[in-house]
Amino acid sequence: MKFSLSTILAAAAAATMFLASAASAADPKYTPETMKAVDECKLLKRDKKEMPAAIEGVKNVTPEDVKKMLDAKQKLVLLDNRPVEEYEKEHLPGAIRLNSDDLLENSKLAADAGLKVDDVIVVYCNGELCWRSPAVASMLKCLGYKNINWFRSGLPGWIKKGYETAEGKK
Amino acid sequence: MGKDSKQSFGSSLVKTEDWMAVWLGFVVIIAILVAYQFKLFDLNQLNSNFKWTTDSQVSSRAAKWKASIEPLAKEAEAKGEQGAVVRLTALREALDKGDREQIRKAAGKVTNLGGIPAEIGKEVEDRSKASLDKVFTVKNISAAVKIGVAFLLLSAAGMAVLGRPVVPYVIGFPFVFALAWLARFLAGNAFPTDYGIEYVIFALFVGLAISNTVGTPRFIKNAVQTEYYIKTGLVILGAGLLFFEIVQAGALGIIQALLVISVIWYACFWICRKLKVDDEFAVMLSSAVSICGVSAAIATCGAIDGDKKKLSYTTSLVLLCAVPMMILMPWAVKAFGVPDLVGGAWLGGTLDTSGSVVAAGALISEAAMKTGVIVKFSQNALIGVAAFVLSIWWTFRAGAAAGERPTARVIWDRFPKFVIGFIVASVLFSFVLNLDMVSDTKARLAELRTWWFALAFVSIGLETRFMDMIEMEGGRPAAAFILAQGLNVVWTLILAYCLFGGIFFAAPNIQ
Repeated sequence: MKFSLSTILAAAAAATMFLASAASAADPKYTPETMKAVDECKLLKRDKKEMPAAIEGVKNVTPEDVKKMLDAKQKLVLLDNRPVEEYEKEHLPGAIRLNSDDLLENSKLAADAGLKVDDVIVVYCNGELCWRSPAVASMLKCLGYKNINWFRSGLPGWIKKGYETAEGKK
Repeated sequence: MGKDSKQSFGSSLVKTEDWMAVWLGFVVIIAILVAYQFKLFDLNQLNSNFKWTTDSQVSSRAAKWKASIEPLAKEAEAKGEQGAVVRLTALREALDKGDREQIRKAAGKVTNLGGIPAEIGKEVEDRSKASLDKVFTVKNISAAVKIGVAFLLLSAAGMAVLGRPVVPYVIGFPFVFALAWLARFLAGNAFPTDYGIEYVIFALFVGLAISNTVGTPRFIKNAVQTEYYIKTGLVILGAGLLFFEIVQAGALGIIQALLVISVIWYACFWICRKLKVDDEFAVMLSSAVSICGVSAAIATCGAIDGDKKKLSYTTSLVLLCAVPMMILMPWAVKAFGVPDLVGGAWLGGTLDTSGSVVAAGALISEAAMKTGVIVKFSQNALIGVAAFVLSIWWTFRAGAAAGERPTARVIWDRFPKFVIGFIVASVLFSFVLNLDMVSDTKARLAELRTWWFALAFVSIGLETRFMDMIEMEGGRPAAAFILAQGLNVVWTLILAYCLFGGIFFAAPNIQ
């Protein structure tokens, strides 16, 4: 078997270029600033660090706030941003699923999920170390949603308060 | 000079084991990335599950689990986290009752509490659901078989290109792989897992048990390729390390290496002279002990045009000495609470083969293993420089009688080329690929590299015969080597503390 040096190097270069270009198909609708915010959350997650304390243009809400809103039967959309297995295992009552990875690939999913521009939206995931809900908050902001609330302590914070949860499919 | 300096660069790319390991590693990495990108198949099916806990093991752990839950429940109570209290109490009650299924469910609820409760919940959940029959499902066994077949085809192709015997390799490989599987299976039980006894130890002992009793059967020998497996695994490991971690730890590693090599080399040489070991032998032993064992001994032998018999003696000494060290040193690191990074750097600086560094590091932690490997590589990278300096010194000493004139080319010739593959893989995963691809393929690549490492550790066991130590003639060279190694262990520990302990420099952040 005989390979010339140039063939090998060319093949290696081609493979690298190919892999580099095979970027995740993030929806081009998101602005560079949004993508930067999302990537920052992912990096924090990779380094096992807490997410930022707040996101500009997004309101932080506590478990008590969310509980009050739900009890007052206030009209709101509760968005669970985690993978389907985690959702089915346990989620907040009445929450619907909007996975952060999916939304990143396809921004239309927000509208498909029934979100209206003026809806009161609450996003949550697995608490302070979870990148998903802050990322979704940034994406929704970019897509023009006006009233986004970030439930930063997420499901763990909710459970600790002793509030009811739900399980199974929706 | 070594024979590979006569090859053209182009042919060395396919004819040397170092480069072949780079290609094999790249093929594995690229295959995983392509399969991920085009969703060719579910990458999860490559994962083998080796975790198993018997019923009695679950109940014998209940007390320990309860003990760790109690304070958490109290803490939650104090903080007014009523929901956490309810779940932790439910788990405690389930543990009291001892019903495995109920424990699993209660533990599953605790995992959603986040933080430390989640970690304990996860452990209890994993343990209580890991019954032995889950290891022997068709899906689980077929995952291992698929990897075995893929590795066999890949590595056999590599052997063919290298011009080594392929058929005997193909016959022997399944046995080595089966032993690796056995080692991982034994290590998957709750008992060794609790005591931190990893597959590494089992792989070694499975191999040692065979080679030191019935002897390694002839038909397996051709598939006992420690270096080939470990280098391929190390190239894949590069994908799991951030480039800046390598640079940061590598810089400290080179400082450590320079200090280790210069001091220990001279100390060993001095001991050898005191013990009246001849200079030729002394030079080889000194390089082996201070730089990196086998490859350094080979390079030195080339540099001074030494006696091949003395070389093989030195090589066996290095391999034999590594086995007790790779078990005792990680134990010492844990027993005396040495920080992981310091421990890793210590192993990387003292253990003489890459395989033993990986094995010993893995016994401490992932971070220790990675640090050890980087430090080891920094040291390996200096082989060429050492060979160059030695050959000049030897030529002058011998009065420049005959032979080739030393040239700086030897620095490149002796450079361990698979380190380049390791660095390229790290650059690819640190800068080129997008974050999702990196995070989603990480665990798969770690699984595959574990298989390569397991093959290598079984091979180390299979090729190590303690009888060789006794049969070896003389004893003085061995004594000198062991004395110098002892010195090396102490000196390197001091250096590792200074460099990686965060005393004079910020400790690298390796996870």
